[in-house]
Amino acid sequence: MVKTIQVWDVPIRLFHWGLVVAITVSVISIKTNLIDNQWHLYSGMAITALLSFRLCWGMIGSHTAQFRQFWPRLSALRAMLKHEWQGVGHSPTAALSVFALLGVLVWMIATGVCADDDISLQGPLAHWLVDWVDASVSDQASAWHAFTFNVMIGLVSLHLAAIAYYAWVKRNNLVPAMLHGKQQVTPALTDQYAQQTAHDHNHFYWRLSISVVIAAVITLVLFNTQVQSWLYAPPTVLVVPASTQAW
Amino acid sequence: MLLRAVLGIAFLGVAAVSSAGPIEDQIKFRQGAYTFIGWNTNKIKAQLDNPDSFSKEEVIAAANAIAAAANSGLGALYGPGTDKGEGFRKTRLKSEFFEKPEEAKKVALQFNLEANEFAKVAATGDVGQIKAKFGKLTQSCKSCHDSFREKEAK
Ligand code: HEM
Ligand code: HEM
Repeated sequence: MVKTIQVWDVPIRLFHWGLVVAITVSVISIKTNLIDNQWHLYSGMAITALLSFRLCWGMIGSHTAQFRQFWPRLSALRAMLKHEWQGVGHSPTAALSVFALLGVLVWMIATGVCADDDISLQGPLAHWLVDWVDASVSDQASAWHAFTFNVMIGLVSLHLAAIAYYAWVKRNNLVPAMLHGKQQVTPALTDQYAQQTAHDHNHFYWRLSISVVIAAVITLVLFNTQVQSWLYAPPTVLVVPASTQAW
Repeated sequence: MLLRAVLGIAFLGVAAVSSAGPIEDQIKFRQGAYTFIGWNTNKIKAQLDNPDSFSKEEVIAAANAIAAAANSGLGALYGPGTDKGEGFRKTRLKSEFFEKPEEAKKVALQFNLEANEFAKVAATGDVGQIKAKFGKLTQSCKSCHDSFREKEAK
């Protein structure tokens, strides 16, 4: 007999699908002419907010969201290879993939905020780097950003391939669980899981609020120039005052 | 005596190569030209991003400056061997520029076309159209940079 449990909480699912949308917009804005490339900044901001939230939630979130819960250990990986691993949430190999994906996204953000295409797209920190450090740092960040994109595409493809493999070969479609959060497991696992998640409801909204606030602060600090231009709409670059245009 | 003469000629040769000769000049002029173009696209972008600051005259002035730079014969600054060397800084021109002359010509001409088109719509003062054509113009910058400009300093 199988039982149904809640494996992914609402914040995790919102994070996941929000990220999918934001990354899609991000790639479309840069690789096609369908939308203005300013959308790369807006989607970059969304990605930053989502990812900072996820990093907090990985520390103080629900059981299956916690990094220390699915931190990839060699023993678990070995068990996985021998098809002996049992558990709820990310399997050991999936955990590797999650850390790799989160890591590459952190790097996309770190390099993106410093990047500059020298034409019409500037990360919010690029100006600051050029003024206070050196333009070559920004150039370097742009190059890394472009390179890391390929790494990211590789990891995303692997992620999708793994899901397809589970669905078609192992007859286990993982997508619905990420949509409605539910998964069917054996009674033994249900009991174990019930124990592990016993504290998930404690201070849930407190932990959620703290994560949201931290994510918002990180995003607002990094994208400070963008936010200011929305609030006060000052011209960002040297528009020459009419009075000096006499010559 | 003979040795001296030979050395002297050899030094002359070295001097001719390492002085700020034509290659360095070409690189310097084109870096200057694109920096100047960039100054003008930045002004336009700032005004399009913030409609309150939009000034028809300033956009026209910037658009004409871009078109003038584009029509100044920038191709003359891409002589053989200019994929290596230093102008204001090390050049970032890729060697592919000389290996794929057809493609290089295509992106270069596309830029000229868009610059001239942009100057035309700038003159009308129609913000919607200016925005659209500005996107085309910067796209033409990007296609050249994507193909022929090194991602980071060499
Ligand atoms: C998952 C997140 C992201 C993805 C997939 C992504 C993807 C890309 C890609 C494919 C490019 C074109 C690189 C090239 O020239 O070949 C690019 C450029 C750029 N991105 Fe991102 N990006 C992401 C996040 C960000 C963030 C958070 C920012 C910060 C605002 C940012 C700012 C920029 C800038 C300024 C450029 C222009 C740099 C250049 O072309 O040299 N990106 N991005
Ligand atoms: C409006 C369109 C364009 C803008 C805004 C623009 C902007 C820039 C800027 C700001 C630089 C840096 C200059 C420096 O080194 O300090 C640059 C360099 C460069 N651009 Fe563009 N560019 C445009 C169009 C083009 C086109 C059409 C080409 C193709 C022929 C091109 C090829 C290059 C190359 C090869 C460099 C490196 C020059 C060197 O280091 O020797 N650009 N561009």
